[in-house]
Amino acid sequence: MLNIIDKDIYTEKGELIKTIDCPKKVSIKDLRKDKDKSLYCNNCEKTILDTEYMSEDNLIKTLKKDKNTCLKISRLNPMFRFV
Amino acid sequence: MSDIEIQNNENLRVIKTIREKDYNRYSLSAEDRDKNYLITKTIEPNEDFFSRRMVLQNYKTGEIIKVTDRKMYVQYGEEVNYPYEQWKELLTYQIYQGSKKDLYTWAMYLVPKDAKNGERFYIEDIIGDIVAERFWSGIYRAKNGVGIWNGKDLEIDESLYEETFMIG
Repeated sequence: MLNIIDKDIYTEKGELIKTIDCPKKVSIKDLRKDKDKSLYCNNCEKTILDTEYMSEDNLIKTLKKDKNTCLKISRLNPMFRFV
Repeated sequence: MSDIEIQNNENLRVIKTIREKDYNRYSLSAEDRDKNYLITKTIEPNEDFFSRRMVLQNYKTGEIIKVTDRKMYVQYGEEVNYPYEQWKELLTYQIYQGSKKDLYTWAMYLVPKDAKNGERFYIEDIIGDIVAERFWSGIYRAKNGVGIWNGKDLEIDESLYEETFMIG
C-alpha cells in the first residue's frame, strides 16, 4: 500500500516517489477518457495515468522512471492510504 | 456501497431534509411551516446509476459467473477476459446502484424563507441520487453536499465531488 501525506506519495518503506501538484489546477472535466481507459489532459496535451487501472508495482516502476508523470487518484482506491 | 460525504467546510446554514419514511403529522412544527419553503420532490431512478451485468457460462467446465463485462478491470490493475469462444452469455441485465430503498417515495427540503438568491446551503441528506464518484464498476452517490438557492429550488454544486480525486 502507498501512503499519501498531504500531496506526497510514499512507498511502504517511506520513500517519496511523487508529489501530486498540478500547476494548472486541472479538474476531472478537463480530462478526456479514451477507449483504452487512459486519460488525456486537454490543458497540457498529455496523457494522465489513471491509477484505478494500475497495479502498485507498475505505478512505482513508472514513477521511479519519471516523477513528473501525471496521475489521477481516487480516494476510494485501496492501493492508497490517506494519512 | 457507501455514499460519498463532504464536510460543511464553508460553515453554511444547514438545510433539513424530511423523508416520507420519517414523516408523520408531528414532523413539521407550525414554525417550520411558517419560516421555510417546503421544497417537495418525488424520488425516481437516475439513469446514471444503471449499470450492466452479465451471467456467463463456461462451455468446457459449465461454471457460471456474474461479471460486469467480458473484459473487466479488477483490483490491483489486473485485466480479466471472458472471450466469446470460451464463455456463453446466459443473461445480460441492469442493476441500479443508487439508493433503491428511497425510490418512488418523496422527501422535502426545508429552505429558510430569508434565503437569498445564490446563497449556498449545506444539505445533510440530499434527495435523490447524484453521482459523486465512479470507481471500478461502482457508482457512488452523494450523501450530502452544497445546494445553491435559485429562488425556487436548490441546485447541487456537483463540482465539490471532484475533491474526491487528486490530479497532478
